Amino acid sequence: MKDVFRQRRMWRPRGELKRRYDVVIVGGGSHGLATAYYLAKNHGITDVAVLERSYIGSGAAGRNTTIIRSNYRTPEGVAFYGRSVELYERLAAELDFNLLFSQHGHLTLAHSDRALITMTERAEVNQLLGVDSRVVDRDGVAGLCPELNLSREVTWPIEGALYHRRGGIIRHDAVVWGLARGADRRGVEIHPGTEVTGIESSNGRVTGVRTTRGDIACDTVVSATAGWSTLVADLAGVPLPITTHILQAFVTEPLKPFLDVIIVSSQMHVYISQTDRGEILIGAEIEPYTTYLGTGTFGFLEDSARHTLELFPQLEHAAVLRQWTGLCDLSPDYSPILGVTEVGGFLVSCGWGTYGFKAAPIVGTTLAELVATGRTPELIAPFTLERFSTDSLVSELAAAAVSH
Amino acid sequence: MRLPPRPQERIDRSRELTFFFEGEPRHGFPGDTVGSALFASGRRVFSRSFKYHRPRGLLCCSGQCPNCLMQVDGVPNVRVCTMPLREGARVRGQNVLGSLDRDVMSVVDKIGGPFTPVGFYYRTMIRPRRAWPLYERFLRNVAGLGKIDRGAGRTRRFDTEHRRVEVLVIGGGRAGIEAARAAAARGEQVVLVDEGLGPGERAAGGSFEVIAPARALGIYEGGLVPVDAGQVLIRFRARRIVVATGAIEQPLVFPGNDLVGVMLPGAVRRLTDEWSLRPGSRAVVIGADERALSVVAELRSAGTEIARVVDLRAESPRRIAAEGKKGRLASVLVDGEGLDCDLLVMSGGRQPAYSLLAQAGARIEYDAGRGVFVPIELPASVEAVGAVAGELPSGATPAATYEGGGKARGKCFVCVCEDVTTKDVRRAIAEGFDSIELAKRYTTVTMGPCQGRLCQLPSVRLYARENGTDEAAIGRTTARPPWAPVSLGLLAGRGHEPARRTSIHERHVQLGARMMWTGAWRRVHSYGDPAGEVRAVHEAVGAIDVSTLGKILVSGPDAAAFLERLYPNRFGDLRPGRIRYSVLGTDAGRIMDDGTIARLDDDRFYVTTTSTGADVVSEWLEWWNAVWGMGVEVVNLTGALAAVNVAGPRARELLGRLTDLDVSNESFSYLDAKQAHVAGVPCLLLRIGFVGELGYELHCSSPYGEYLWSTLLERGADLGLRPFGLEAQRVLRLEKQHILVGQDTDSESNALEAGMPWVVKFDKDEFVGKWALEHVRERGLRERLVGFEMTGWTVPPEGGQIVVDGRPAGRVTSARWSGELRRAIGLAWVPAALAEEDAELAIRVDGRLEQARVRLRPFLDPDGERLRS
Amino acid sequence: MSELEFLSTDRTRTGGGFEPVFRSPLADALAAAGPDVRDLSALGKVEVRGDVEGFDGLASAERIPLTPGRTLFLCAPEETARLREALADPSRTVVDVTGALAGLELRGERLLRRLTDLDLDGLPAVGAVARVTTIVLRTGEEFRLFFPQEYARSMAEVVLDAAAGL
Ligand SMILES: Cc1cc2nc3c(=O)[nH]c(=O)nc-3n(C[C@H](O)[C@H](O)[C@H](O)COP(=O)(O)OP(=O)(O)OC[C@H]3O[C@@H](n4cnc5c(N)ncnc54)[C@H](O)[C@@H]3O)c2cc1C
Ligand code: FES
Repeated sequence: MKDVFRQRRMWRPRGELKRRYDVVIVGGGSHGLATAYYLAKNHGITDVAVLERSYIGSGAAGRNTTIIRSNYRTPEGVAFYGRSVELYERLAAELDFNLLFSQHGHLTLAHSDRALITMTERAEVNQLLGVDSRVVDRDGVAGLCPELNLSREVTWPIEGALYHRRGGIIRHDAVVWGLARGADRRGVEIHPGTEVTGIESSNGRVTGVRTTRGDIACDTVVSATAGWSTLVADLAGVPLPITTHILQAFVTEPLKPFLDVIIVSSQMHVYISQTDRGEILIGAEIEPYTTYLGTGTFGFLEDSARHTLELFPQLEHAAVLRQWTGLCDLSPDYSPILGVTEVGGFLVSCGWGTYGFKAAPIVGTTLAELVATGRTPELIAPFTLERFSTDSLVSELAAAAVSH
Repeated sequence: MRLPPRPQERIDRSRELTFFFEGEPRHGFPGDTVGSALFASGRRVFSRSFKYHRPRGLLCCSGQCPNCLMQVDGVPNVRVCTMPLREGARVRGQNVLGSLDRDVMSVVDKIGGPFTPVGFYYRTMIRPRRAWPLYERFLRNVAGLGKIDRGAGRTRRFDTEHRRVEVLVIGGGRAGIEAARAAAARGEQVVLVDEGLGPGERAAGGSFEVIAPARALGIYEGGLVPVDAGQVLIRFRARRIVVATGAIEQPLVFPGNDLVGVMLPGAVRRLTDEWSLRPGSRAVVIGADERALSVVAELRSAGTEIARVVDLRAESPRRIAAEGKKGRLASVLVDGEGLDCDLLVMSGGRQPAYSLLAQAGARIEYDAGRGVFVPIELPASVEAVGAVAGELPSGATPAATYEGGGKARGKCFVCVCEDVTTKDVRRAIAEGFDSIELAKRYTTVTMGPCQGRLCQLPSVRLYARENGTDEAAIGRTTARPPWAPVSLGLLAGRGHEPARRTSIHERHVQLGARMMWTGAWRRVHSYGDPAGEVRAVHEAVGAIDVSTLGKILVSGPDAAAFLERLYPNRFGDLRPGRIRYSVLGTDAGRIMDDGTIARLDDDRFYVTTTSTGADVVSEWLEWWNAVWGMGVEVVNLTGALAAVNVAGPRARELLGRLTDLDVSNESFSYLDAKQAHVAGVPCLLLRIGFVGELGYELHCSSPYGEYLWSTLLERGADLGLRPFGLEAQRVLRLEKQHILVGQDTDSESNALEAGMPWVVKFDKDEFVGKWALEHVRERGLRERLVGFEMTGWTVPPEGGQIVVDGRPAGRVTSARWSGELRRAIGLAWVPAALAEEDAELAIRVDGRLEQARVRLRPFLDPDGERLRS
Repeated sequence: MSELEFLSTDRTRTGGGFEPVFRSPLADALAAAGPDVRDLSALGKVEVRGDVEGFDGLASAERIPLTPGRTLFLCAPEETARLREALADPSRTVVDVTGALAGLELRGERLLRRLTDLDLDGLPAVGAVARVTTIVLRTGEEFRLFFPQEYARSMAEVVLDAAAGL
């Protein structure tokens, strides 16, 4: 309790940029900071600079709806995200920072027989790989979330759901700050307000980066820039098979506890949770177009409200307080792209679409290991950029859309 | 408790309204708001604060702050100061344990404890991990303001309306009304909206429409301005938007600035003028501009004694502190001078209410001269007039805070919504949250119900001072729409979802069909006895409504060449009157849809698609047509035509009864397409066999679908005809190993691995996705879609896993019990090595492994004799 | 097989014990509607792709430009065949959409404002009415809507509900 009252700096004030670092990480979101943290913690590599164009957590990390789960579709995905959930479960204690991880379960609704097939497939794969996940019928849904409207006289009647007990939500800023503090205390430098404007290489190897605050020499550059990945990879001359979209979300005014589990409906393009602050947090499907404008649309509010009220008519009077948008970097198979590229020393973490926040710890540990050892850890081997030229996709399409 | 009648009062004293507060009757007048009536009844405490549960009273009395949030008629978080009073309204306090006046939770305010410091929850309750769920439960319970009635359904009707106007004026203050008048005088069509009740009267005689109370929620995409008008959401599109939202009175930052009895000048003005209420008996007034100070006159006229007026333009007190008893103001200290009072009117100047402009794309800059943020560089077709544009009387810029040593140690709030004090802000800065956006997230300043209206400017001022810089350098946080909280009910409106029904729908309902959704379509699952329906098709004849099939007419001299180029199968050599099946592939060679294509004549093809694929395929065709510039006409006829599939050994006999066409096998063979009248209705007849028996698909104009269906049922009754639904169809097609795109295939499946190499004509010059399929052919097949038959009696779950060495290695996509075969059968994706006749599969069923054998050929009638007979 | 008879609604034959019945997709849905809502589904409707600039074949038919190159013609049910013939021309694609489109006539601008975002002073136009792509025409306070027949019941429900809310 003592520490609660003691005023202690989270991190050092931003200092001058050095002329050289062993490792430069572009992007002060959850992935960049996690990579920095694990480089320092697991491998003792601390001559690291995290360069962030704005403030830390200003990108998707600070805008996402924080669903954390591992009930994916492909064996590769289940193993990868499963490990990440385990890391998240221990992360608060490790960072000595409460991340408000609220693990009250995750229900993906099925509104048709066909959707139930997909759920069954996921449950079976999950169970074979030891992930707690099962299909529940209508009564099961009613038991887990009595507040849901289970009437059949609606547009999308609920036929069942995929239930994932360990699914949950977390406080996104806390994750960002906790990781930043952990990295900073181990000697990593964090530089907000520092945009990377160029990536230098010679003979197919990275030699440094140019920034709005001066040039830096380095051998390794990790781009963890999510929605900006294509722009940054471009600087290194690496084309990525990624399209960038916006995704919107909103919260209502805080209400007394109403909903513990997370409710997701891909068919209705909506997912709903209640944060520890009491706000009902609602998100939807990615918008079909690309824009860096960042303005939310009203149509999104209307559609989401309509769909939410079909599921929870009681929320009729809950009032929307604010809406926002974030960027999503979508890969063709809805699985991430991780690790080495054709330019030596230029590593990427991208292709995160709407689901990358849950992967921050595992991305951090595996990329750190890759940087430290030069070898691609087995867990991320299926997710190389190379898979697109060898037709070895890891298709999560059935699981990731809207499910975050 | 009312003052004698006053000239501007808005209440109608001739009639009394009764409402209930915590179950007790109270009275008010028409023209009152719930808030003013409660105030008149003597109530001063309106809410309890978010974190400390401190009593709070009317602060702004204009819907800007969180202080009067109550539950009215079951609706949480209602700002009662602007909520018109209705007879019988039921009003309750919220976020209290006990009552508004005696809230047990207010101990938090006194003892502090772990709840005091900002961000306390990040630092506590980390260990032991086991205890976190308990802590969390507690955290969740103390958070949140209003309560949702879990059992409630939708209770109110909300509508959506679309309006187009030439000029939309937002805000009915002096500037807004002037702008509206001027535009109307120029002959423009003008609508003015205002969130208050007043402008209707002020605009009287004007030649423009006034909608009030109504709140503009934002300026959205394409200039859309949604307006919350109570029960109706009006979506305005205006050629010109005039923003006249005025300015918002800002609080001063000093210890005790949240006590009940501390008000902003506007609140005082409204209480006295509009509702003839005396805001207090003895007042201290501290203001930074003329407008704020002018309440002194109102107060005097209401009989309030003025203890002291502090004009911040003339004097600059160093310290101000308010002290209270039981949360209610008792005295004010100004630089040590103690003044007893029960009302403190404070104003730190007025901040232009620029949020709508910022959302529309205006730049917002700090104006050091006036000490506020002002909008500059407005986007085209948006104007700002009056105070929001920065037209403000000159005033003094108040100090960032009036705290100071001395004995006043009360809490000093920067943000009343979230109970954030100056101490919290200082702490955040000291901890390293040194940019305003980071600080916002850490302290939650500006994230509460007032959306920064009352705390943005004070927090920026404080930030500037603590960081030793100026406001311009700190900047502001991004204001996020909507501009005012809006209920999900209003946003949702009536909530209808368009649904598609075939022209035979009503007959199915009459037949007792169980309906189900497939996409937007309503379709028949079964008529109660799927097994019997299957039997009828095998043994006699059945009829199924397949009107939902996509139907696309592709015509023009290049039609054959077009399809040849698009589909992997060959169509150039298809003779008129013949039909061929194909899958349709994406550029990456993946299966996107499948269906039959009938050549009607040289230049016309009739393309069918799956029910869910119709629109996508039709757009796909149009797109390639445009890309290749082939000038083919693509007409989507999906809804225009009804279709019925009549199948079974006696289908020919039935058809013979209804048409003059020669239906003998010789002249109307398998995969023939013909036009003829059936029961007097012109039809396109396709002899195809998705369900595996002799069958005809009859396509006719929709308005005759119901007639055709009824006639078939009537004339086929003696042959044993039964209508059948999708469930029976699924079994029937599975017996034939016919695939369902989307169920047996997914977005990664290709025709080769799906076991249909015969639809891929590699010898064609070119077709969409050819290179990708060539690549698949070269790299070899990795997995295969195959049929399987269970060794035991269990039907495995669809989605079940094929297990190899304890790992998932494939999946069951379809599985059913076949009554005809007396066996459980299915389709599954398996590793290529297992795609051999009789290969053994282990399928996971309820956690156990069950055995199955691969069957590469259709389970029933493998040579298609029934189809061709 | 030069004409696609099965696309037309006026080519049925009565006799041999058969008496085809044309049934409006709105028949059931409008059973409870008041006199302000009329079913126009039986009107002859022909869509033409291609140039109709110089066309003056059937004076009584109403012509509604949909997009450059696409035009909808409306006529009395019994005139549909004549209209189709008059329009027939190798340079055009003529499709009888009588059976494809349901039609509704409504009164009152306020009602329409509850249903569509279209500019009611800029009709005819094609746009979403109750989220269904619809052709909207206006004569004074009278509005005619033509939309895919499979949405008929859904549309009727929305229209009647909106009217009830006024
Ligand atoms: C609305 C929304 C909801 C979501 N919901 C979920 C969810 O429920 N669950 C889930 O798991 N995922 C979710 N996601 C996805 C998830 O947020 C992202 O995949 C993930 O946060 C991406 O990793 P990151 O945190 O490192 O990215 P970011 O936080 O976006 O970090 C990238 C950083 O790079 C910086 N940057 C960019 N270019 C440069 C440059 N040139 N120089 C320096 N810095 C640069 C950016 O400023 C940014 O801070 C959601 C996303 C959105 C938008
Ligand atoms: S007093 Fe009602 S909102 Fe401020």
